Amino acid sequence: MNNDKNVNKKVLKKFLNLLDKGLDMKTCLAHFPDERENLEHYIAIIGNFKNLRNIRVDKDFENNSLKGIYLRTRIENIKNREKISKKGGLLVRLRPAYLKPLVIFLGIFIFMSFSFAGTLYASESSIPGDTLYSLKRTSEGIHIAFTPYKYEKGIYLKLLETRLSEADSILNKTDYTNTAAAEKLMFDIDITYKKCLERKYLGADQNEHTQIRIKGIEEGFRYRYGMQ
Amino acid sequence: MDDKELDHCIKSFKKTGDNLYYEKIYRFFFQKIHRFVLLNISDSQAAEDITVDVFYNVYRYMTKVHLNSASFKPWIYKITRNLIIDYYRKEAKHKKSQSLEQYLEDKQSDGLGEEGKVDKSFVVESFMDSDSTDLIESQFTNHDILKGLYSLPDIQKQVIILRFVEELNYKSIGLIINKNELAVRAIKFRAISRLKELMVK
Repeated sequence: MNNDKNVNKKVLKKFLNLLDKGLDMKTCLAHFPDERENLEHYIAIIGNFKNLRNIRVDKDFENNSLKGIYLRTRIENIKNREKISKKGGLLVRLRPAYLKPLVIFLGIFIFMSFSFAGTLYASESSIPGDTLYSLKRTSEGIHIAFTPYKYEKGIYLKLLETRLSEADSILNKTDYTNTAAAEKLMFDIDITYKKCLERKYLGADQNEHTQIRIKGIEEGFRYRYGMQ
Repeated sequence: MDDKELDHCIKSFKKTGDNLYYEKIYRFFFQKIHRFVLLNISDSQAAEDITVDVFYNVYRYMTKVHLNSASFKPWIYKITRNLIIDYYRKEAKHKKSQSLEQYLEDKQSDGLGEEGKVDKSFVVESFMDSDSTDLIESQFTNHDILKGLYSLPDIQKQVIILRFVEELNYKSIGLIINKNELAVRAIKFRAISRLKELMVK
């Protein structure tokens, strides 16, 4: 009995697939001569559904509905216009769908900018070996990259002064033990100083004063870290 | 209205906003949508309201959604289905909804096929043309068919209506009921098997 039912299911599936392929019922039925009696019930059911297409709508209802839709839209538009004018017009009208994500994006952007500016400001007083020192050096690099050649004098003099101040800070710190960073700083001071000399940014007095400072720093580093 | 004309109407209405194009679409789909709603909802007054709501939404949002002839049919039937679901939710909330048994009893006592908006419009005749299947005679009345249809779970009922009455393809039906094509075929198969059990004793 159960087996019979399964066979019928398979046949029904095949029959429905043939119908889906667009074959008419008579042709589909011809494929299953043994199951004809069983399938006739299904055909009758499916076929009868087609009668439901004969449900007709009252023409007056159809026409009146259309008029109703236009009227409803007009009323809705008037209401919307009133709402806009009550809420202050332009601001509401200029509120596209993407405004919300845009506001969120701008908010995040402003927050990030302020955070970055704060971090950058904090990195100004950092010395070699500090976490924020690399940020400080990167911002200096960007600053130089975007400065026109004729204004570079001021930048390089400021950089030299910054490096010397960093060296002073290291010497003032009795617990500073990062020898590698101190060595790197000495090297940077040397390069920056040479660049300033090459481009003749330093006046005679200024040069003399800088040389004295550099010598003092070198001696200090040699005494503390045993540099050559 | 063929696909080409429907495409033209959709594009032109979007471009110009001319009601003439909307009206063409409206006239073509109104019968189909109202029939679909009527077959899903027993209350003819509510069915009329829902049909109007469907076309109001179509009028409002047609220009805002990217549509073509292929996507329009699933879209409009999906709107309809969602409004039907909303109606049933509201009904359940207000506990006004009739139970199926009660509905069927009422229909039987009214004399299905003679009174009521749905029934009045039935053309009670056999679906089988004598030239197509001469050996098979119609075994069921519209009363039997409706009774069977209303006995099915909502999803099966909708698949049967969309497939056999509205003649939509499986892909479109899948989009309307949020199922894949295989699932739609399986639902259709179960629905037909169940209908046979119910109707042929």
